[in-house]
Amino acid sequence: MTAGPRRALGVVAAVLVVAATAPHAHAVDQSRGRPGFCTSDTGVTVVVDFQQLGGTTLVRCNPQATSGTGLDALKGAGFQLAGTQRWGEGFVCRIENRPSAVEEIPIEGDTDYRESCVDTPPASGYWSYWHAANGCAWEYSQWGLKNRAFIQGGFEGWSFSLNATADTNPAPRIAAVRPGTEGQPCGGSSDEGRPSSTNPNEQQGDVRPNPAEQNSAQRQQPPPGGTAAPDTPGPATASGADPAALPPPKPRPSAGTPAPAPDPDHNVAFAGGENAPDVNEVLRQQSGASRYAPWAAAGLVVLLVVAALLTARRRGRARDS
Amino acid sequence: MRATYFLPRDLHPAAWWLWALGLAVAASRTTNPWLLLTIIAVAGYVVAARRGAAPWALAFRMYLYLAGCIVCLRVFFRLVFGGAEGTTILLRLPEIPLPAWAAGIRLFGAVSAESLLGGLYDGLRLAAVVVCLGAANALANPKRLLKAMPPALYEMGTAVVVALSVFPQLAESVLRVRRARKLRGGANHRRLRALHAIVIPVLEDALDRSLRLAASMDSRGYGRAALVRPRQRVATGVLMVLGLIGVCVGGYATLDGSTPRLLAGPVLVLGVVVGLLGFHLAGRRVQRTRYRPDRWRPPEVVVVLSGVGVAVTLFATSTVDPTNLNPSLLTLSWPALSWPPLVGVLLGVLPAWLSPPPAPPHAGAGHDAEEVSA
Amino acid sequence: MIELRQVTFWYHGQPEPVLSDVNLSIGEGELVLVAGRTGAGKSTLLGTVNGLVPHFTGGHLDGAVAVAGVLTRSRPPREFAHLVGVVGQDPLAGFVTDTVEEELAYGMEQLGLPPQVMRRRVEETLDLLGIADLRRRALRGLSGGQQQRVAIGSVLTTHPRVLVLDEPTSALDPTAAEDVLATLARLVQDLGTTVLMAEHRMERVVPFADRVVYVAGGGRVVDGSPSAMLRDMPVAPPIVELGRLAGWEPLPLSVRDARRLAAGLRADLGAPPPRPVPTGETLLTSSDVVVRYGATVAVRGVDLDLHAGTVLALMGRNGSGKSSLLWALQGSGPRQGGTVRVGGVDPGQRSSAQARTLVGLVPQTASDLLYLETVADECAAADAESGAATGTCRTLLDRLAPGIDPARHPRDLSEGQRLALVLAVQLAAAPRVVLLDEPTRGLDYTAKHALAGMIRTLTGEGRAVVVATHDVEFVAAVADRVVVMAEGEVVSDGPTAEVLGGSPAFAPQVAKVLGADWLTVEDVRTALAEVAR
Repeated sequence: MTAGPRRALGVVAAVLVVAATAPHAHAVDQSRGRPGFCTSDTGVTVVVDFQQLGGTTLVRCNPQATSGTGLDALKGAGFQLAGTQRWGEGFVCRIENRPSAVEEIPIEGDTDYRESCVDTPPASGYWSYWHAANGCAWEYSQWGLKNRAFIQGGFEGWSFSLNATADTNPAPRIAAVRPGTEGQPCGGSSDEGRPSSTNPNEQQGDVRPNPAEQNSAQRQQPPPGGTAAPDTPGPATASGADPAALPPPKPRPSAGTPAPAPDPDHNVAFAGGENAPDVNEVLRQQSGASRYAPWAAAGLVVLLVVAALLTARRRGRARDS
Repeated sequence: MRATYFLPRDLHPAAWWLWALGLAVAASRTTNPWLLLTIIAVAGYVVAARRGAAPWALAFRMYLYLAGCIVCLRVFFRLVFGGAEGTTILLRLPEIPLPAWAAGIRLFGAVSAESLLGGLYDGLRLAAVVVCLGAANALANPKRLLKAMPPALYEMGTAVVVALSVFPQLAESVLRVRRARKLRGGANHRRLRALHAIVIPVLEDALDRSLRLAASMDSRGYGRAALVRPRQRVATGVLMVLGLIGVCVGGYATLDGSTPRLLAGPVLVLGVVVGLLGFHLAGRRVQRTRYRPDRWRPPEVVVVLSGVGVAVTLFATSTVDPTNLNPSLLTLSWPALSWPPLVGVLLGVLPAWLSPPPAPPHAGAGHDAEEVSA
Repeated sequence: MIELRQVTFWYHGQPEPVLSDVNLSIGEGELVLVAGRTGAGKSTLLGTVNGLVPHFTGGHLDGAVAVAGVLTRSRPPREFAHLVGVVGQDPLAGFVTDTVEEELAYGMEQLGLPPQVMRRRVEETLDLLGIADLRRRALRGLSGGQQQRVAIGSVLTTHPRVLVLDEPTSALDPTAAEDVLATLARLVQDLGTTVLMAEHRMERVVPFADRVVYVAGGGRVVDGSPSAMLRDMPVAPPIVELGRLAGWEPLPLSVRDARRLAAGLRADLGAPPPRPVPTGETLLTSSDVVVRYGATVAVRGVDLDLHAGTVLALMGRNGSGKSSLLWALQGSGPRQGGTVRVGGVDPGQRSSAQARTLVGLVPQTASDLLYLETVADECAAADAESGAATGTCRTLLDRLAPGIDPARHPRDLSEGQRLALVLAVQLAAAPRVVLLDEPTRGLDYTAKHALAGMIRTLTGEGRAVVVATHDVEFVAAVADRVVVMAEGEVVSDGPTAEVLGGSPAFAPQVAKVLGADWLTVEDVRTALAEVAR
């Protein structure tokens, strides 16, 4: 009886220590990356299109000249992302706190779904992951964000896919064309970026074809994997198939001749995220959390534990006598 | 009314189980450490205030240890396998390179506060559920729970009770025979032979005992069946089997989204209803009564309501401010908390005051007189 | 009430019937004592009453058994639960639930009695048996006598018209046995239940018995009034033997009757026989022995010396620390304090193989020591374990109990033979001190007689023997010295005549009739022979 409360106290202490050492964070981290497109062949432009969630599409540049993963690209551009509790950052659940926990997303079969980011998000509402070389059309990534190397001078895209099928996944509505390079032909290396690992096990469970190429029969959208890069094997199995049993990704017929990017004139309005609000502040407002509730909770825990110990001791004494 | 309400007695075991399940469901809804710790503390306090002195009640401490182990293990796993989620790197362990076939698994490497916290929250949630179940075990006599089973399951309940009583007896026999072995100078003989020398007498003893118990139960009327017409027996059997099939099909359809919805809910409900009907029929032919059955009185209702209340509040609040219930690890910060779920969880502590205290312990002085060899 | 007509019963694969052509008619409200040697078929006869024989045991039953007009052949035993209540030897083995109150209610639950009736009957039974204060106690935590009373109560609650008891007191100390038997006697008086009881302590039951059924072995069953039956039954309590010796008519069945008749005999007897206390060399010395189990003190600083060629009887109620003391002296059991020396060596400090060459112990459940398929194997194993010459154990066994077939399975031996086998196994290590824990359990008069002979053989060889037992008559016949323990302490220690004769609880029947100086019928017989000469 006595050990439990002591352990509980220990846990509280641990939480406090860790939490106290945490730095303050802002929404779009302005210290990393720059707003707008990259202007040269170095770095990667990251496009975040909220689609039906609403909100201005964000375009930021990660000037990183060294190679890196999709995750590096996203973070280096200054975006704030949240993984799922189950899979961590291998599975992007929120970008810039969207879809937030209080936001109702009308996914199929559940019109007021709220994303709690505990487990894998549903197939009908998740962040789809795209990439493109400069001047090329967006391609749906078959690899998770931790397993893809971004293309220098190219693009990384994140587009919220709501109730879309494999064929209708919406590509980011910003053409993958750096300003000043309009009209240039699709620059060669837009094939599936070399995965950082050559191991097929790391391939995401469902090979989600590019809508442009996929004309096969309509099929039920498999559970998401657009961002699944399982460093734990779990999410891959969510598709219902054994990932190990899947063949390695097929070479694409179009890999050598990527489709050109659409006309940048059709781009939607975008911003660099300079005026995005502080995510922590937003979270606090959204949750209706009280500054005092945690203190009350901590106090109650201590109170109950002490009371339990006293009761147990009194009982023990009563039994002895 | 008020005088009898608080008279010491053991509550209906199902009441405590429902209360604990309510808390456990609530715990499974959230990863907010504040809420989880409060749930654990609430369960602990109610156990301290309302448990009896029986052996099963003392096992609560074991559940607390188990919960602690779960938390530690979860955090430890985050440390070993991929602790680098998030930006706040706490320490950098050398990463162990793994062969290609183990790709996707990372050993050690940088450890971030976010991933450790993620493990902690997750572990706490499981730990809280375990503590809730432990509380139910400590507060409710498991054997009385078996007694409260529907009549159709009576035979099974008795079988479980008898089986449970076999273990202490077996342990006793083993101890006795092992001591007796020493008298023959055994112990330092060949292993297999020593085992043989213990197993044979113990098994013989166990068989003897069970035969005597069976004879005693038989002559005391166990399994007396009233006269049942064959048609009635067939009807009962058919209903039970149909109900079972219905439950299986319905359960499968509910879990598998691609089957027609018609097979899910309706078939499940139908299966349960048919099965219950079969149960009822089977129970009716069992002519057996219960001695001092546990009765459902106001305190039981209060206990159940408080447990259900906790679960309902957390379900309700999760549609209001899910951010609290599953604190984001987006950026390191104090987990936030709002009032409604906290107050909801506190409903669970009410049984500590609003239920009668347990009946005084079954006097156990007789144990003292027992001799080793008795 | 109970009718047996031409009942013959075989166990499968056995050539001889256990019961053959038994006719018996027992009326309502009778108390019938079933007597006979161990293994003669008493339990089988009792089992036929509610159909456990042959429904549960298997075997073949010819003839008809009817209880209250219902044939046992027609229904399984459970359908007799409301008519016949059965209480066995080991109450703990028959308990289904785990607290007293629930156990009392169990039978009624099976019969489907209404809750109010159950509640009332449980309370009545608790009072009837004087166990009201135990109602919430765990059955396993009760003493043997309490357990047996609960077992009786648990069948009484269904108000059976027949009560069948198979040696209900064999595991109890004298006081507890007295309690149980007194309770039964009262039940017969108050409830008018028909009682069928097998009992070794016949002397306690005979005064109340309306009839004695003697199972003679070989399937024969004879019945008649107690005094008529006891006149020439080979198994008889000491008081009856005394009556036979003195030629009393009618044969006394109780101590009271005998005492009234004894005046003449007492005058004839003259001086009581001298009981020399042999004093051999001291083989074992122990002082201040303490045994504890947690907070429970089992043995509280006992000093005990054992001398060659003497038999020491260790007495006391269940749980008084007898077993713990024996185990501590042997060295295998725990001992928290004090010293034990056998020839200058502490057996507790030695390996178990060495300890058993110093002190041999036969535990309460002697069969725990046996694990092989045949007697010969057990003996061979014992020789090997003790490093004794081949055949040592067998020679010992032949001396203790001649004529045991070496190919038999130890479990198939009679209680007495099995005890002899275990004793031979232990003696193969040639210990000079032999400790016997409750050896008389389950032995009938004849087997006890044989055991007494074995013990005399041992002392004749210059060994020291300790017997822990409840059996007063056995102690009177065998022991030179008696130590009585209570709560882990020695409360009296002295020559047998002194300790037994002077105590109302421990006095053997002959002493109760003739005075403290006379302990056994054997004493009287020799004294009479002296006088006659």
